[in-house]
Amino acid sequence: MKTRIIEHLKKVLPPEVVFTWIDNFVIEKCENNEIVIVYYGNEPLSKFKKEYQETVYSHICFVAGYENKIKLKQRKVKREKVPKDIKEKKQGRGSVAKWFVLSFIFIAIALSIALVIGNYIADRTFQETFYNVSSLKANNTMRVIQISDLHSCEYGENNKVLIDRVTKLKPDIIIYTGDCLDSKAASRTNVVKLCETLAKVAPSYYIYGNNEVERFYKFPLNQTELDAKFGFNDKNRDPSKLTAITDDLEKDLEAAGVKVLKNEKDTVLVGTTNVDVFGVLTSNPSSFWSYAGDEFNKFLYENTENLKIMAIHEPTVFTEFEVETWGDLAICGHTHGGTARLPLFGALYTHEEGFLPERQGYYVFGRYEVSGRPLIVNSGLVNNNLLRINNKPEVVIIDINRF
Amino acid sequence: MLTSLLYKLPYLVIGVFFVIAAVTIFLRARKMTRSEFFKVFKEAKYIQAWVLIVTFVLSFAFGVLNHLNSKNWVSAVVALNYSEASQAQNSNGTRYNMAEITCDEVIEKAIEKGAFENVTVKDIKSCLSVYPYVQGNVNSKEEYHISTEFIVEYCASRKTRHLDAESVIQLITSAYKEYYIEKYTDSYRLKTDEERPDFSKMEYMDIVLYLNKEATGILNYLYGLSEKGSSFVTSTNTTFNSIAGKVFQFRQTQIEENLKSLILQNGIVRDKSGYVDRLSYQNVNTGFDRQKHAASFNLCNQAIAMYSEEMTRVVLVPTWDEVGKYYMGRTKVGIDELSVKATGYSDLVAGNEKEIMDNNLVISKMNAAANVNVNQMADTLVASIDKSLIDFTKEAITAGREFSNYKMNQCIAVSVSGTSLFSELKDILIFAILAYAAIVLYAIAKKDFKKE
Repeated sequence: MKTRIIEHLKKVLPPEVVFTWIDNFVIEKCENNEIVIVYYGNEPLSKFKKEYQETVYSHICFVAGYENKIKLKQRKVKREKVPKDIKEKKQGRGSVAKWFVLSFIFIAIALSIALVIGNYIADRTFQETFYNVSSLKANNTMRVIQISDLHSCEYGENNKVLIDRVTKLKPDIIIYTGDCLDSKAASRTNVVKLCETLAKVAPSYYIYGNNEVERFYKFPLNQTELDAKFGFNDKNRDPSKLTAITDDLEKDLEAAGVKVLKNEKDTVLVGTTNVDVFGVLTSNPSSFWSYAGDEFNKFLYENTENLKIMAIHEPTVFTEFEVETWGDLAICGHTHGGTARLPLFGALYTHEEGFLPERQGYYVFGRYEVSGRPLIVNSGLVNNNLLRINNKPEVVIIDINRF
Repeated sequence: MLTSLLYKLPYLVIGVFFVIAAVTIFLRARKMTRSEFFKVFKEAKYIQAWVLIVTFVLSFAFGVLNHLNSKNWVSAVVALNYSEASQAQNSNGTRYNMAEITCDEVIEKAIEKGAFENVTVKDIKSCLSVYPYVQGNVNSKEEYHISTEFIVEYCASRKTRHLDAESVIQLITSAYKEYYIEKYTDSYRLKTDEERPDFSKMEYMDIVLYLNKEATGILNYLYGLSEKGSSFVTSTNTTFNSIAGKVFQFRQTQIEENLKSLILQNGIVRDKSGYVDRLSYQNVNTGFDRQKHAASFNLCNQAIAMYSEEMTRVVLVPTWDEVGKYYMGRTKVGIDELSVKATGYSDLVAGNEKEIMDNNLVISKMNAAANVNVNQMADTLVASIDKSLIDFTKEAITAGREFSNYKMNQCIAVSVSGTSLFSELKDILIFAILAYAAIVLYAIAKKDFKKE
């Protein structure tokens, strides 16, 4: 009977009355023509008596019989005596939140794993990024292909896919801007083979990155280390002693028809345009001017009618120094595009600049303007990093014309 | 292709939820009153853990797939930044045609530049659309607008999905820029070093003619540029007119006075008899021409004399001037055409006679002298003049390129843009709302309506 009365009241009364009053009613006694109702809520009973008592009593009598006498009492709420349905509601809410948080964490972890794996699979192929550079020195349209930071990875067996695509893109010059050979790679054969095959397609130039330096020079090429190694100071520094050092990779590449540029330039004729390519070995800002400065100035200011391309592994010199010009085009790599690339924030991390380097104004990925001329930072072809997310490996294709 | 199919999957899932919910509610609501029906919705639980989780998962999946799918759509704005563009003209005054942005030649060039495989011009063309950035209304004078900016949209199809959309549109616009500049602005070219003839096999007088023609070619090129940009100053502080002045002076002094005089005065020739015979033969031919022109001249004069006096009178012809104002023009009838022709023939006769006299002079000089040492002098002079002409050519080309760059570099500006992050977020939000609505409806249909 108690349940019937409460259910009937819940059906016939408006929801706000049910919520405020009926939900807090407990029928303690319903026998001998006496019904005792206890109110556990905090509202004053006088309000109920004034507004709803008559209606509620009539409904109770409709269910339980008009002979019953109804008594209404109010008691303070005790935690353990909270009516059962209210208690269930509260417990229900708590468990939903807990469930939701746990599920969210689980789904987030699962999706992150899926994202990493999906990216890793997507990174088995590379993208071709096209840039247009205009220079009045270009008598004819020419194409430069930049390959960077391969880290001994392979695209197809013996880099067949990479070779095929580069061949089909018909480059006039191919420039490797360092770290194509990983410092920890067991063999350099695949890199030499790649360079050898592509050297038959177009004149090729190889610039050393920190990985090649680490592997063959065994010490970082900063000014302190270099001076200590050769016993140089500001008065007797002779950069030619550094560039005179030869290594196995250089020998192999030169034999394969690839010119290794160590703080030096080479001139190549493309159509009717003379192109000067300058390759930097000491890309560390501390040793750039002291070891490569003279040759670099010669490259810039001799044969000024030639088109000038400066190739360097690390882009740090461009942020460190402000100069009149770096040439008609500067290209570099090293940054791996900031490993992962976040929407709005760009690059996530680089070794030298730390987190969110693009937000701090560093050159990490894509095309920039330095001293009024384009600088292209290649994100590289390395694809063995699980965290390389939203940052596909790339081959950079630069079309240079006079428009 | 897989991405585009998967992209539709989240929509399909929420569609299924919605259909099941709608059918269930429809079947069960038939037995209910209207108040009971609304009461179910009033009392339903709208925040449920599983509903939120399913919505989150579907929205995330939609977001990822939408992001991947958005890479198949990209657009570029091609802006024409030259004065003639506002009159719907190319920079050379011909009518501008926006359809050329996606013409076969441009697409072919883009395919070649990008080394795109397994795709035809037709495949790519079907993915491209071009329309003005601002659409005017030709029926209303107030809304009439000639757009100088055009949007090129690329939406990958099944056949072109393997290509990177951004690369495609970038190469298309770049190819169009080249195509446009080649077709409408950079058509005039000068001979390069490789295209020059071997002077050692040419007669000296022919060399004079050749060098004269080359110098005139440079002059014409510079005058043409000067018409377009008379005030343009190159990086070496020269103008087209100042370079043309140098070339003109050079032609007069070095080619006409020095070289030609040297050859004529000394009768310098490589193959005397052959050259003299050639000139004599030319003279015979020119003599025939002279006779024909003289006969035509006489014929015209006879015809004019045959006209009656009335026909030679001056008459007034009503006509109007440039500003549309009427006036009475004075003209002679009948004899005008004949008198113009007669003057023309007279000039031709004079020209023929001069040519014959010049040739005779050369022949007489050639026959009179034979000094081998002077030949060497002439060779040296020819080489020096040719070198100077090459330098002038280079200077003219450089100046022309600087001008072309100055005028055309910004002539067509291209900016490429894909789907923005905010637009993607907006899509995800709309999807999440729809997904939540469908799933919550499903939950209500399955739970609350069942209770009834």
